[in-house]
Amino acid sequence: MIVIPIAKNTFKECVRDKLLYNLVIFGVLIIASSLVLSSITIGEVKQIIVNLGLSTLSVFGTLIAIFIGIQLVFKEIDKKTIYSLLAKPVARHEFILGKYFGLTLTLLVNILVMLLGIYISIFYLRHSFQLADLQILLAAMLILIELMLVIAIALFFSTFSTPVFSALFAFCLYVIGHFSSDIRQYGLSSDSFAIKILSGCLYYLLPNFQNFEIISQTAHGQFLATRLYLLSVLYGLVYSAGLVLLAILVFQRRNFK
Amino acid sequence: MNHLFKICLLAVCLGIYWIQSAIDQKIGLFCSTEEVLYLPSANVIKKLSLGHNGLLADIYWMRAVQYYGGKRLKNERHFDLLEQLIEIATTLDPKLLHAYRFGSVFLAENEPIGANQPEEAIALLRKGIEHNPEEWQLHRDVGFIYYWFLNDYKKAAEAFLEGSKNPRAAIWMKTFAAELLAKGGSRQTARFLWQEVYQTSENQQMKDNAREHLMRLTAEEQIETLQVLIEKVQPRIGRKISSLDELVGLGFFKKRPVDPKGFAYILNSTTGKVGLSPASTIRRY
Repeated sequence: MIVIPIAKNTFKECVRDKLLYNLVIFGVLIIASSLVLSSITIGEVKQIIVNLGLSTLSVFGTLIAIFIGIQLVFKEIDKKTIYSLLAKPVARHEFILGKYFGLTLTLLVNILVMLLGIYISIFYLRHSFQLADLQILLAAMLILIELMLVIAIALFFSTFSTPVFSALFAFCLYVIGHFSSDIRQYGLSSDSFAIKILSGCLYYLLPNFQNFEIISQTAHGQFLATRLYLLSVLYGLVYSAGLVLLAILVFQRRNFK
Repeated sequence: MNHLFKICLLAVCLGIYWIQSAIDQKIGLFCSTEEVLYLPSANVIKKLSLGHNGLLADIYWMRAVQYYGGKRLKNERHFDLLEQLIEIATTLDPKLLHAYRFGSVFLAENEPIGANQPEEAIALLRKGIEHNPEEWQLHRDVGFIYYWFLNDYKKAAEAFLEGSKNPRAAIWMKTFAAELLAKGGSRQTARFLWQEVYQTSENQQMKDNAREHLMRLTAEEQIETLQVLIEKVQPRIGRKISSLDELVGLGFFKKRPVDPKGFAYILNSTTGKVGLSPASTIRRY
């Protein structure tokens, strides 16, 4: 499988970008900020750590997924390294899959580093762990699935568009994906049959990022229903697979002459 | 040339420090959150949060605490933004229990300690109950505000009774509701309520607040006792008592009676009423 060496190489490239060092610093910053925040507010400090930690993880993960994701293919074409790569026995779909999993691996490491920061903060403030703290790990895994979807979106756009437009499209899709229920609601409340159909189509066609909104619940120590959690994971994986397939299809049709 | 750049950089750093210090001196060391909401609609903020409503709720709650704290430190009496800040925080995260519980205290407390808005405090708690029906403490807080700030003992009893229906509610809720209907706002019931808040609160600020109120109740009791004593002693000695030191001289006390914070009580020789010393830090309503 040539996919694994490409993924490893993509991961190494990301690490060379000094991305992970920044994340370690950020993890430390979370610890420091949670200590400061606990002294200027009233209420459950763990809740603030979880909200802040998981939101940071999600926002930074999204930014990394978009800004590195859009360059995954473009960089190879721009530097013309794609020619030497494709001249070797590397299929185009293997190239795309390798890039995709390489960035996913980078984000997995990113999430683990940040998680460590969150758990250290909790331990520092409470001097113990509880079984309910495992919920944070589950939430982080769901965020990883969400980020895999964002990578797939960025990768898909990067196969046929410039980095600027790819970033713009990916970001817009990410934002729209958080308004899915509004799109559906708008259609349901409309009297027009055409709008009902259109909003229904958009609702199912656009990625629904609201499925991954778990941070607030986790901060309150509430477990997401197992079935709902698994369905959200499945949704993310299936949607990502669809987008990666589309990216492969577009990339296979591209002419590099 | 390189040294010149370094010197310039150092000068810039010192300049920034000097300018910022001058600004801080002008506006004071501690300034409360400015009187701007930026985005007044909680629902708009929720939509724009892209799923990070929990974090934004924490930020808005923090802003509310800082706003309230800033006003308290400056001894300002108007808490114009407080209700809206808490409203936004609780709309962003309807499960933010401490925002309901502490927010209602901030709103209900009399000026200058709070915003003197007990009705708004009750509305906030009712919103909390709607989103968190399993939290019996919110009913207790509603009852408490009706009792303490609005002196509406019937509604207070109703709130305690409503909360007592929750299987996890404290067992005193039901009996207290009945007692409240029978005795109304006696000092005994007030002491019981504050004692309850003091013992069950996990938060230090809440405990401190309850202790302050308990000290006030103790002071009231002591003032009443002193007043009764003076009224009994005066006919016996055949003259008006002009100072509490006289009671010490008559052998009633070894030293001048003091309030729970250690400040001596005073007797107004004109009115004949016992009261707190102007220097006393016992909370006044």
